[in-house]
Amino acid sequence: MAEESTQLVVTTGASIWRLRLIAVASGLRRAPKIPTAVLGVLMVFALFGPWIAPHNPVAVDLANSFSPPAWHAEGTVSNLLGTDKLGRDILSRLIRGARVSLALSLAIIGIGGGAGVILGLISGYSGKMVDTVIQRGVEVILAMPTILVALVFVFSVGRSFESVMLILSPFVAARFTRIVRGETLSVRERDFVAIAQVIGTPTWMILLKHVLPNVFNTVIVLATLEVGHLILLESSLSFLGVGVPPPLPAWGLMVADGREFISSAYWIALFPGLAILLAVLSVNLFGDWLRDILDPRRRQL
Amino acid sequence: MLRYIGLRFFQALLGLWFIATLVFVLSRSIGDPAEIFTARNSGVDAREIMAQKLGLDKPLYHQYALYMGQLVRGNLGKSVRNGIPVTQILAERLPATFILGLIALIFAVAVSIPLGVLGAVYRDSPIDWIAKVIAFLGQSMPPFWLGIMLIILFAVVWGIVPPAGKLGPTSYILPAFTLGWAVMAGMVRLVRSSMLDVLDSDYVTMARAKGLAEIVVVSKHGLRNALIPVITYSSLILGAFMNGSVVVEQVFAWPGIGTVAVQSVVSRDFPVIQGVVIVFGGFFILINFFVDILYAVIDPRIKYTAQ
Repeated sequence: MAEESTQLVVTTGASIWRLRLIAVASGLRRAPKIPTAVLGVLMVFALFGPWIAPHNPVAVDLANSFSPPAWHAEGTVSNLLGTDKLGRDILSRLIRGARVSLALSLAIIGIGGGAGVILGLISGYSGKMVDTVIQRGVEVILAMPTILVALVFVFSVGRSFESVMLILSPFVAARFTRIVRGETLSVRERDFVAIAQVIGTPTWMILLKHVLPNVFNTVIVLATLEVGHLILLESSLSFLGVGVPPPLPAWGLMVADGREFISSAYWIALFPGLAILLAVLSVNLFGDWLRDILDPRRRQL
Repeated sequence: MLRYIGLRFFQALLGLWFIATLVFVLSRSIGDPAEIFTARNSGVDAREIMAQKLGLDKPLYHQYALYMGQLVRGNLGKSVRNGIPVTQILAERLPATFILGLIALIFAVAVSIPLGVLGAVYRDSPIDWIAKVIAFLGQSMPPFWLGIMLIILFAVVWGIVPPAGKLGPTSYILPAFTLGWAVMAGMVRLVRSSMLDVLDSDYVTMARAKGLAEIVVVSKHGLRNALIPVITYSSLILGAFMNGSVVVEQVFAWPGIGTVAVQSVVSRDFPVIQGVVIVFGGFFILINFFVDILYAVIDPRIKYTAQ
């Protein structure tokens, strides 16, 4: 009897996953075309950038510095979007920069989001003291100015991929914790959780098999929207000089490089900014669409 | 209510303590503290005096107590670059940051509330479409890039406004717009979606059924309730402001706190950056505290006790 119930409940969990997969698969055909395409191109750039980029993104060529984009009279097709003050090809740097931005955002979502989901599940499910402690911690983190804290942290430990990742993860974790906790609170009251408790399913199993599948939609939507947020945050840090260190071409850093030359070589600052705008806009539009099909209640986020 | 205020106050103190401790831990973990608190080429004597002052010969908890004691007394040390007390630097720079933030806030509110409301009332009309485009573009555009593009257009090409710095009233336009724009987008979205929710509710239908004029329904029954989520998310909005002002000040060479923060990072002026983080963080936490209380006063449904 006990085994049968377990079987039944587990099947419910599994069928949720199957239904979700079907929903996504059938929905993906109706996905907004342009944002999806832009994201696809970005992924390709991030994965295969070194084989696609026409030039080495960090190769200095002083004889060829400040070359304008191809549509200017002095521009060349070889440097389609022009070159910067060191003669490095802007287009190749943009393509390489896609990997920096995406890898950093995904790493932060993985670490911060993962921790946030676990803490949110525990906080929402256990209630009482544990919940209070976790929620107070979340509030403290959310009440801190992100950029300033990141500024002083990266300044102290040095500029690196890891230090940016380390300092931004808690902020992402806090946002995930808060929202996953809210969802868990309502899932906890559902009958299938009560049944699982009655038949003595261990708590971690209940969280993993019964609660997590039911908060997963929210997590996916939140993760997508956070990618856009993180690309912006990371590029702001790079712009301020505390992001990923040069010569790696981070988009924010490229805009900062172009700042001195806005009256003579606008293209150095223009294109990386456009790349950020396009990437974040696509992620946001895609995330918005995803929320409409997966999690329509959360329109305000 | 008093209990609620007390709890929030305790949380605010906890947040302040956390920031101060983080700064302490960082200052003790990145190398010789005597060195980071003195000018780069100062002699051994200066470093020894600083070591004495920071209590580096004493155990760590003693150093921590010394540090906290100085903080509580409002002593943030002196800049290693020019020897000016950090509190004096901050006091000089704070007004510029504050005024810029205020103008940007007024601009953001003045645009986002009408636009969000009209977007919701005339759903799928051209004005709704404009509201949506502004919301999406604003949330996706890096503010530092927008600032640079505005400088190119309005200062370099057309020469209408000064490209940077605080030089007369026209120099406020570009930085205030850039800062306001980033915040405005989120607010348009928030007002629009919560207005849509409210307009769907029973009491709005009831008000319409009573025969109230649409303008009364929208402004009195609709907008008032639609603004509650704006207050709920005001800490996020405030966060966007803080982050934005550091970046925007940097772009426009605005003589405010954000510029000081970035400059002190570049010149490795630890006492100054420590002061900026503590004061800015404290300000942020303080405003969050007041907003929480305001929120409880406005919305009687909020429970005053912790769950």
